[in-house]
Amino acid sequence: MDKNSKFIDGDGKNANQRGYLIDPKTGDVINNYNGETMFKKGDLDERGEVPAPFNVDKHNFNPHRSRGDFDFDKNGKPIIKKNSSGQFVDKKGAIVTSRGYRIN
Amino acid sequence: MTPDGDLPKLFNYNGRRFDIVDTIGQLDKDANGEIMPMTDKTGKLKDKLGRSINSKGYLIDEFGNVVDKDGRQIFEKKHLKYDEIPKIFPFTKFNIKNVLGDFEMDPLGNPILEKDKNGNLIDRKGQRVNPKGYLIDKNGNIINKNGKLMFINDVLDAEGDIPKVFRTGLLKSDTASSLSRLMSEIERNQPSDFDQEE
Repeated sequence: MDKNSKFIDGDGKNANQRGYLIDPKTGDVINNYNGETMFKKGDLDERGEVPAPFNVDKHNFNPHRSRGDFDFDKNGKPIIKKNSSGQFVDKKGAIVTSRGYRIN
Repeated sequence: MTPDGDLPKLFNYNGRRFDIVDTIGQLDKDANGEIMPMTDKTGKLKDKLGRSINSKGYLIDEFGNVVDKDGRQIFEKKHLKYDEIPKIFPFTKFNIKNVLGDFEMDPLGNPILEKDKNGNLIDRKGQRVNPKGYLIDKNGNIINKNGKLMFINDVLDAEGDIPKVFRTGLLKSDTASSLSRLMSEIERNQPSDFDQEE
């Protein structure tokens, strides 16, 4: 966020809460090559997400990358331990949710 | 995330909910967090339990379709992109009206369509549509009212219909009303449909 509490990307460009580049005047989602409008603000949902199937077509998110590194019990369930602070951790000590997803 | 730190159950194209964890193999990871698949003597990728996986670590059957831990098909191979599955969440928004042409329906529920001079199906505004009444481009891909590509041919069924999950009211069609948000919350906390099968 910038000092005005607006979302910006690493280059300082305006983005929405989902990380899509936006036109700061209209809130429309724009592309990062020429600023052309891709989705009108009204086409986005309340989370700032673009409509399906564009938001469905997310083949870039892989569950292995968001899950901790675990050993598994005989039932195939991940063995999730706790650290001294009571936080759930994977076998390398990374903090995870009780369901095994990595969190910061 | 759900309150207990889980990912909401996803939908497949048939509208069945599943837990994404049930579709991934058990794999070690390297120092960078990348999965380290094993291989059998024919070079096929395997997880630690000897199950077949694809390059992204999803459990697959002999045809490359993504399956769950019990071998039930979740996504056909042709629906994957670079071995990755599409992610359809309960909060995914889709309005079927944006991809339908302008036409009346006959008493049997079929769209009443005309043909242009080239024999292509058109709606009453002269827009090209397929036999199911969806707006299409010259290649038969489904587009929306703004001409943007929405569904490529590969995800349509033999009759030109879009995947079931998009036409059965499972997804939100507009910006969330309080009711649809509540329904999404309830859906998110339900077990996988596959767990409820007998």
